[in-house]
Amino acid sequence: METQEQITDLEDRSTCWTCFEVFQDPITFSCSHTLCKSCAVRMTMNKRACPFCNQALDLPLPPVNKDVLSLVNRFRAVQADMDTSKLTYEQQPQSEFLSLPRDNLIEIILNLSISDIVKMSTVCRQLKSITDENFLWRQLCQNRFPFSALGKYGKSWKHCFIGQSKLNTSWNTGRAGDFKMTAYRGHTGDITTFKMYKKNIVTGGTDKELRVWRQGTEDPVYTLKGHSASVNCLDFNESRIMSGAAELIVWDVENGKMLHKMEQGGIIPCLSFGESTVTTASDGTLCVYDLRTGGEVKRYAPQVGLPNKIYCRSNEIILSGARGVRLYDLRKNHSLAVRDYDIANTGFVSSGGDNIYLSTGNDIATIDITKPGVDRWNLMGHWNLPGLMQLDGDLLATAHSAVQVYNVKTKTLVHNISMDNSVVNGLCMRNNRIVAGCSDLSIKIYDASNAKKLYYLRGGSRVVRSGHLGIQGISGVQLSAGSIIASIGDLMRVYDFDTYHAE
Amino acid sequence: MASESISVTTSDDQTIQLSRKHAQMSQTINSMLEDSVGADQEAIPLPNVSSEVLKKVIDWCTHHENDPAPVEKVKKLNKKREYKAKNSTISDEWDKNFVNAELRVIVDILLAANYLDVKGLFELMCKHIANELKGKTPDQIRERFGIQDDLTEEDKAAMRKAWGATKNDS
Repeated sequence: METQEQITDLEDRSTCWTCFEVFQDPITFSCSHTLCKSCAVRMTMNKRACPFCNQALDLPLPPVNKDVLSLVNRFRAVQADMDTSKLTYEQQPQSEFLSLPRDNLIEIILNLSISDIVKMSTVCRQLKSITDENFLWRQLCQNRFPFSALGKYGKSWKHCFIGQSKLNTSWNTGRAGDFKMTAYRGHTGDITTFKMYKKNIVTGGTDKELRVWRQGTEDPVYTLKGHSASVNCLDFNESRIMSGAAELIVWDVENGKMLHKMEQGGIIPCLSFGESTVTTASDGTLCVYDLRTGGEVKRYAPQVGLPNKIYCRSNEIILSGARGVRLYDLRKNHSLAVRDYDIANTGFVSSGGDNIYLSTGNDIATIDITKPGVDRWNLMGHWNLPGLMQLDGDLLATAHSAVQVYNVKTKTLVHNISMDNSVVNGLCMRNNRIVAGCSDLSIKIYDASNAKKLYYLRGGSRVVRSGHLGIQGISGVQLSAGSIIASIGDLMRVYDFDTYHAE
Repeated sequence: MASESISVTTSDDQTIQLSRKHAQMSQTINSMLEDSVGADQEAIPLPNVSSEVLKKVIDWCTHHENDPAPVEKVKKLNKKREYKAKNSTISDEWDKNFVNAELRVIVDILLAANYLDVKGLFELMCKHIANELKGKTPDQIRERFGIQDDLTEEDKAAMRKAWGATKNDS
């Protein structure tokens, strides 16, 4: 009886490397490569050469190789032997459990918790190799981190899982070493607005400049100069940066050059851009520009007072101002509002769908932009704070001296989180985490599901530099999948939690 | 009209009759039946299943014949991103009794369920084995399943290091 090794060797030698079956009528070329006759005919149909070494062949094809044929017959006999012996595997020393096919074992392992899987891997070699199986980790990743992607983890879902779970723990504990803090200095005035997308950050400040940063390098990639007043709002995509101050400027991301400059006759407090247009509002006018040419597409006279926020949705524009909320339709020829909502002094957030949630006075109002009418719900203890609202699934968070979390489906207060006598200047809610940037220079992180405090990040020194009026606390926060970014006076801090690097 | 019972031949050359309802709980037999509609009802060969195991499978099918058909669960993206290991508790008392057998039998049933594609039974067996593995130390697992420890100390040390990242996690 042959040993397992001999059988494998025999199998290797009697297998055709073109069809991966046991040889059928094996023939051997003059270059000593062997393959089935049918394979040889197929492979040499177009090019008369050996498929393995490309050596030219002479026809006719050589006769069947008797030596190989006898090998094949022996292998067949051994195989038949093995088939019958398989039925009595319980007599073999190997465990019945390990004799299960690999995919069945994986199916079983998927029922286990991570700590049990880790223990399994230390049992024996075979289980170790199974617990390293990419497929297994892919399933686990999809169960636990449904939005994870391989990305920087190369091809290994296991690394992806470890990275994701490390990120998760880091997010929840916030200890030193769980994140890497980078400070970005450069602005000479306070940062008024910023945005982060992937690894790029754009900031705008009262020093009339914009700066483009890339996470990982401390100096700005570009400094964009050209505004005549403090920058109020900005947004960017892969190719363009738009910023609004006393005028609207469109910049090229590639080289930091100014492309278009549009005057609107007033300070621009907010802008919003779609695929090819950018919409800006100033006191008295609402303008839509073409992003490529810089030409004006449409101009409205909204009369809603000082604008707070614009929201663009393909062809619809929602503008909210101090005195009302109006809906415009770009497809209409006239320049009148399609609909007026009777809500004053608002800030809003949208879910991306038809519903928009607005804060007005002591109420939260819901409007459906496909229908007229306002649905108000009064909330005790809610303060009028346009802007500081965040929506995450069914939860709506608002902030003032306390953060309040509402369920928008049931319209009830879920949590009221006290902020220790500090005013919240920036609020973000994502993946069940609430991040609040407070006036006492701390960033407070809470769990949205149970309102439990996770940790505070201290925003740094209170030392007032010469020439400054003094630090007003954190002026804004933003949250991405792997990091928190916060603006503190003229300083920008990035807390990067994604510190796992696959080897 | 097709006949009400179907005969199958097991690996040990026994011919076993089983009702159409039970046969259709196995996706494998079911598709074989669909392929041979109208043809003479010959015994279906099941070369990977022994009669002893098949009887067990039929037992299970008899008990579960009135269960609602397994619905493909549409996985909702869990907003909370909370991970729970699959719930592996076996709720049915009859099932608990059913899995109370020797490991060899369990493994055979699992293989048969996999081959015959009886989803419920396959899951039950996986759950049962997972329960056996749960909360055990590597030594206990080796003892329970008769596995030889063929890892060297270096292997283990390397593994401990690699797993450090997720160890405290669950």
